[in-house]
Amino acid sequence: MKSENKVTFSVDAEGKDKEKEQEETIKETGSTTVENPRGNIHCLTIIGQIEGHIVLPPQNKTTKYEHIVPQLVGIEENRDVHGLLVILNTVGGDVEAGLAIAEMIASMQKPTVSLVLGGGHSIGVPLAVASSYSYIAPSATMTIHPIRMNGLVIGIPQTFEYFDKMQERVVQFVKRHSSTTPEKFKEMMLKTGDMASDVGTILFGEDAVKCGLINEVGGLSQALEKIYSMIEEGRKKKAGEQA
Amino acid sequence: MIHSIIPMDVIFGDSNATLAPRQMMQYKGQSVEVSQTENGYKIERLMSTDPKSYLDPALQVGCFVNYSQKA
Repeated sequence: MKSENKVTFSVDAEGKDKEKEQEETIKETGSTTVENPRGNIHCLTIIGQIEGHIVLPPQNKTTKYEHIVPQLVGIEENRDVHGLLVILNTVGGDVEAGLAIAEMIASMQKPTVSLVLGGGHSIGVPLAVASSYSYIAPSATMTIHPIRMNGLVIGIPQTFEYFDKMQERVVQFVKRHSSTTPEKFKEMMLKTGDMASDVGTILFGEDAVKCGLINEVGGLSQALEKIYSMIEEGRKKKAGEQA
Repeated sequence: MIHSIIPMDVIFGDSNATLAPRQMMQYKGQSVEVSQTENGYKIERLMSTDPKSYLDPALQVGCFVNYSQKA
């Protein structure tokens, strides 16, 4: 414990020195060093399963929505953060938690760009389309398939209706935030031949762009360039309004 | 309701595994849920109404409680 204390004090002392240095720079030159003159971005990585109302067993890698949702509030509120980069490599997860995060990202005022790497499957699809502009790596895939369940079912017509309604929430969200149509999206969900023991479609990078889900095929540099240009546009607009 | 490409039995396969017991404590003026490990208390969940605290690197999930900063 003693050694831990020592480490903290030295960090604190360094932090104070840095603050003093910054204060002096402001006094002498009237300015301070901004970390990046083009704007500061917050990078949010969404990986593994989206964990919702049920805590998943420890062998799953999870992204917990109760951490992401307030973090997004913090990002939107923080003056030092100018844009959000969402990096996705997810296998899906809880429908409500996924939609909650997607709605939060979609309703942010700050520029948001998403980049799908590896995979953006199932409930990862609404997460990928939620941002203002989306990219997908050429080798990344997105699986579009119906919501399903297994085990004992009591009241089949009611259960079917309930699942259909849950699925409709996903379809409608994707419709609102991408240029694909609900008919086309549902058609992809129920396609046979793509998957061995299931219905659905596996989209590769370019296919996801062709069907209107994702804006462009790209990687890190394109995503960063896009977010910085969006920040710049926002600044110009603000300056124009003030003038 | 889970919508995933991973089969349900794989997701919930090892559901008998017990989670480490958790407890609440105050840390840096916020309520945190922690689990005790060999290296000290590890943050498992942050409960705060201040959005700024969710961006604080010391309060992220997986960080260890630093006793000198405990409120």
